[in-house]
Amino acid sequence: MIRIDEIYTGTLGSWIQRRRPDLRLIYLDPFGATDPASLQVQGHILQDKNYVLFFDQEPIQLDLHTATFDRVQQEITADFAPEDWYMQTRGQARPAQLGHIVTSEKNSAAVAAVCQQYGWQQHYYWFHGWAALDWYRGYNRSGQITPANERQIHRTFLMPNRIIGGRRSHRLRLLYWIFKYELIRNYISCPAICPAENKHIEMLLAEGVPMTDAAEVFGRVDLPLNMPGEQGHPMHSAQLSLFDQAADSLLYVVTETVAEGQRLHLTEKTFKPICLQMPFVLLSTAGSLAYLRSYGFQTFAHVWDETYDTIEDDDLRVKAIADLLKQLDATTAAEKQDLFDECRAVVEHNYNHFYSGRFEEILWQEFNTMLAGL
Amino acid sequence: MIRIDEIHENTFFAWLSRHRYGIRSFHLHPIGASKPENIYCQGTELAWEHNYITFFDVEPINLAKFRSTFDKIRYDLAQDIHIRRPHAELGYFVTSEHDSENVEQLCSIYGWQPLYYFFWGWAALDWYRGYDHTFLIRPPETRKITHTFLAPNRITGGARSHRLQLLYYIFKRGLTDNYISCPSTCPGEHEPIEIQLWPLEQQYPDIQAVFAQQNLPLNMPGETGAPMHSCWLSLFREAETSLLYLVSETIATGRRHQLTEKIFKPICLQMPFVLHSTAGSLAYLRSYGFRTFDTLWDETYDDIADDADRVRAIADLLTDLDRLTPAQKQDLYDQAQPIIEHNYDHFYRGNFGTILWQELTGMLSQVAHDRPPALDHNPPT
Repeated sequence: MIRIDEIYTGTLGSWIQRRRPDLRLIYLDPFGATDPASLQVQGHILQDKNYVLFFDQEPIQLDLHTATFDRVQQEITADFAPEDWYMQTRGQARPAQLGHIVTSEKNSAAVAAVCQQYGWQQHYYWFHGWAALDWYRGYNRSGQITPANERQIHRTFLMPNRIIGGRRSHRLRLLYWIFKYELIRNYISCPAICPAENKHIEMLLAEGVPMTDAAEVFGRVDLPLNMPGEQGHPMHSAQLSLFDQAADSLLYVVTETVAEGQRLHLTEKTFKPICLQMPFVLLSTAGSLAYLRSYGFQTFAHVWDETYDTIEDDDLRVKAIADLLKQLDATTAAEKQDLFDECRAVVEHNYNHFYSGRFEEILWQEFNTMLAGL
Repeated sequence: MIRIDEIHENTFFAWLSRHRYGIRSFHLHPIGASKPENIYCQGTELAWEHNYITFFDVEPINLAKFRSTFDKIRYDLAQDIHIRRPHAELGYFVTSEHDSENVEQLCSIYGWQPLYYFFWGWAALDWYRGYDHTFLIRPPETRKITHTFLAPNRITGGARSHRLQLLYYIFKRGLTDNYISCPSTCPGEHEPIEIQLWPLEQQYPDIQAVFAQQNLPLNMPGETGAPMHSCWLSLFREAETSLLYLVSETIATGRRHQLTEKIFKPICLQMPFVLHSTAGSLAYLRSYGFRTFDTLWDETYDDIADDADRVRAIADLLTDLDRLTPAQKQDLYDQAQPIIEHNYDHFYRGNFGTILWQELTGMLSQVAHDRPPALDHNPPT
């Protein structure tokens, strides 16, 4: 476990003080912020010999975050240049590799572009794995989650959606197919106005959903769709919720933050079904299921077709997921129960992997490898 | 791990709703509250409750101080259940006090069945999570011991005056070249320490003079105002140069065992400890799988039933240890490392949590599954 709110000051800050006291630590606070004003610094001007930027919470978007990276290089680390000034103040030559950036995304063209532009060396660890371990701690010792072997499955899926605008429009594209296929008799939430972009869904459809009948398909649905007992699309990142709906559903449709391009960036959302003891279908970038399996989790290829994870075309992958959901939704209640029962061994493995400390051990090894590379 | 802020609602009440339908549940909210207006009630909406349970598991039982809270539960909030079932033995009372004369007395007054689990073990597991994955704590094998003990003291008044008794000996014997904090005005009772010493003057006639020689408040390096650190670890620098942590527990008088999060601070900071609490507290801690330090120094203070004699014995032990040379202190610390490592691993690797979970589920299983069917078939009006 890492106390995720203290990962910079407690874990990373103390490591730097003990092991790399001449390394300047730069990170973003509060959680989720990416703007230049949210940059925080721990170090000593004219004494530090190198620096590291932890940009590990949000996925990198060059168009959005360039001002933040510029501030790091042009202001926060301005005392590292020019080279003769560095020599004069530190009494040694500037290292060949100046500047490190740590992210929580793998195989990322955006990270590669940032490193090329700013001359930084990239490093990786899975921030959101640690966040989930901290945020979802203790639910294995609450009485809120119906044990998997006691569940009576009546619905196909549970699919919460909150932010649907901007770079989350892949959620609208999946919802398009769900509405078009009339799979609406499941637990689905969808706002009428995106709570982050503050734009009406009609505008978001025009911006992010290319299907010509999108307005008509969404027009058939009485938006907003809320989960039972909820309204206003509350933010639940740091808690588990929807326990009754989870106990009633065959699977959880995880609509991840990133589902376009080649990078691998999974967030706490993927761990919700794992902690709720549910199977899942994962709307994310291609290869995300394989990425998750590389951390010791198992998925459900023995029960349904998971080849959607290998489809590189983003729109075709969304369509393949929708087709899978349609197929599963067409099964009878008894068949859904059978499918759920077939998934239980994997569900149990994933739950134990998360809560027994094995996942944490893998993350800790990875984390220390990342630190050793700085 | 249990999310300690949610233990009553999401662990206990969720369990009761699933396994003992029809039990009304009371707890005090927020954590640490004890007044009648802080009673939080949860019930089953669709059934007539046939029994009730009170979780008073945070604060130690003080019958005189909290009588109005217990009366409110028994004669107001649960009165309808007693009227409905006049001949039944009703009410469970859950505390974090083991072998407690106070709990026994309270339950005999109200007719409640006492139940026990170690709330503070769970609180510590949650509050001190993750420090094993920081670099704030210097590994034991690299420590240089320069001081004998680290003794933080915050609240010193009222029911915590046992701390003043131990500080009296520490000051009188000149053991002040250690890390000690002591406020000049108690932040809990808001009384100057001179006033708090009055009740101790008969027992320790020179106590005012001894304290007057100190330049109070005593603060830890870098601290002012006796800050509250219950839910964090702190004092890392002081910990890594001290032979042991002197734990001044919340309770140190009477027959009962109630250890709090304080005892887990040295365990997580990878330190030996001397425990100022009620008699038998070290044995109580060992019953949860932790080890103590009787192979290194005399721990018979734990067997002394008389509270004042036990304080003196602890002070004698500290005096002996403080006389050691730095090399001898270092040697003692090095000898303690296998125990330190055991305790740290026991806390952070899940074994302690497993023991607590068995205890907690065992405690819940004592709540009877005895809902009278008639209540559902012929609900009273």
